[in-house]
Amino acid sequence: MSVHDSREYLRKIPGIVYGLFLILTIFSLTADYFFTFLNLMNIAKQASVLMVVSLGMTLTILLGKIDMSVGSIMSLVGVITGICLHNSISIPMSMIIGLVCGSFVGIANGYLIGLSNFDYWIVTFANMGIAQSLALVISNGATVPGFSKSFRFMGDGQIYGVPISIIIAISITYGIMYLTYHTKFGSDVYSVGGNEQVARYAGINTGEIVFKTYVLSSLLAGFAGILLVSKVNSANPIAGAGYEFDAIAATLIGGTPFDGGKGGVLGTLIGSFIIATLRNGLNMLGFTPPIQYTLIGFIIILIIIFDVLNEKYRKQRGEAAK
Amino acid sequence: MKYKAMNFVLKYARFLILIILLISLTFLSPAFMTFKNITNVLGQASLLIIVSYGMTLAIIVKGIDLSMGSVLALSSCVAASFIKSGNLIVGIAVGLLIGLICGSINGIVITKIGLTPFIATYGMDWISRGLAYVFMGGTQIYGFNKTFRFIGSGEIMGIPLLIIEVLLVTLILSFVTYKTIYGRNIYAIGCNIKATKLSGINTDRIVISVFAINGLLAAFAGILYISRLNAAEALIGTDFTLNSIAATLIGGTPFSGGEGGIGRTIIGAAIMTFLINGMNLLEISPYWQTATVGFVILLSLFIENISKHFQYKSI
Repeated sequence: MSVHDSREYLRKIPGIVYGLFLILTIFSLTADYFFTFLNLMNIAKQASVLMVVSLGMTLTILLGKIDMSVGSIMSLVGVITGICLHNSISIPMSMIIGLVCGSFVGIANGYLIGLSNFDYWIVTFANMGIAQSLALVISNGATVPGFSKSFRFMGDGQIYGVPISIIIAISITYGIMYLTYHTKFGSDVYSVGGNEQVARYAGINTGEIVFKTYVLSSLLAGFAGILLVSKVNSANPIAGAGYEFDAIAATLIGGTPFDGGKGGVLGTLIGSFIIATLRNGLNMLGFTPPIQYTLIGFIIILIIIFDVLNEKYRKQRGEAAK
Repeated sequence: MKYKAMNFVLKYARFLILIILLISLTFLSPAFMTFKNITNVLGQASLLIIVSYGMTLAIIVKGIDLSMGSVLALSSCVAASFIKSGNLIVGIAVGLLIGLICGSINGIVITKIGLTPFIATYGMDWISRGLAYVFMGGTQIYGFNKTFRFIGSGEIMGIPLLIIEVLLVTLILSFVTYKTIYGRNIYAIGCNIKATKLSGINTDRIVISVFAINGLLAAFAGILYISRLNAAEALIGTDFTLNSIAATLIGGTPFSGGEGGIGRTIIGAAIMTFLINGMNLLEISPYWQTATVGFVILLSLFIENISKHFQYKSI
């Protein structure tokens, strides 16, 4: 990413923040009890789960690809961790077992896409089905309920009223930001996303970068799954379904377009707050879950359409200027 | 010579898979090769075949349609409410119209706005599933009259009507794709959309029409499905999308577009239906089904890759 692109991306950020404030204002005026400290912290908890998944999604979209399997990985890791905890395995060990199992899906994605050059859409979509199915098989279709207080602290606890989960999510975001801006891996991700062929000719092992990114994405999704289990105090085998869609939306709102090689993770942080606020606000306005699904789907697709049109317009303008 | 033999094997790999599947299932489960089971499987397969035809057309133009299962649910739920109140013809017409509209919206969003087919149809998937839930409000519609049930479960001279309907759809679609200019244009778009556009073909209109046909086929399959099931609810048809993708790919229509055809999809759909039926008969947990379908998709990608490799070498 050149300096110019970076500046252009950072110039987008205030706009996204204004968008978030606009949505917050609208919901505060229309929904009772929306603008209370308790509810805002609730939104922060919801956003922190989404934020962690979206970081992985942002990395894959920066590569010019996508990872549709993150939602199912969340369910799978959540269920495995939950079952481990119920079999009185220690908390860190259960989390590690869950994350390792989830990363196998990422390894499969990365191997097939990065090293075997399969189409990323169909591979991650097929793996989405496989991971979802495995989550159901392992839990036998049942929710794993009730965990110890120390495990729940991570997703549900707070220090001076600030949720622990949001602190964790923001630190992970900071870590990924460091990774993308200050390491060789990060700049390689941008290069591969910008133009894979050129990156290969420039001596970058593109397959390896793709592989690593997908594994990282699956690890982040897995951690988000653990956070979700800790937050809602139960591991549901289909809890993660639909998160991939929210994560794509959060990434696009955050200013990372589908083209690849452009954007960054800072916007994704705010994007996930916007999506979480939307979900929470619609809930507070008293819409039933089916109507919420439809509305959210509709809003997200509108946001994506707007983003794609905007990108198209900018490209045309750029060509005209030349 | 070695490559030629390999090519031959790969060309007929699908038949081989189907035959191996049939033989092994016959040995594994005594209930498999019975007249009752086979007719039951054919009934299931015919619905999957209709949905997979739509998916095949979408994949040939280098797209995909993830919304087919939900469009099927939405259109059949709306149709069911009309049919239940006695308006048979209106119900079917409205159901088909909803499918057509959903498909056209997919096509327009993909061509005119430039969204990737995956995202556009995935959005449509959530929206139409949500609308189906809103429309039904958590209830079910069941117990249709005899005339409507005849469409999906009737027989004419011992032949299930469903099979005749599938044959009809097959004939129409194979005529359209293999014998008309429109059909050749579909393949041309799949091979190279830019070249097709530059040679003066209105590619946008063709892609939109392909997705409209998709929606129509999904709605048609939905109407047959509720007629066969004698009930309609918002959550039907969830596994049709993934199954039809698997049926198309394992049938030999490659994901890269511009090749394959609906004839191959029949074999793919048969493989998928026998596989799922076999798993049910062997009492394997239904939770494994999605994983199996996912593995079939990955397997067909491998076959596609290998056959491309050998084709390249044999030239």
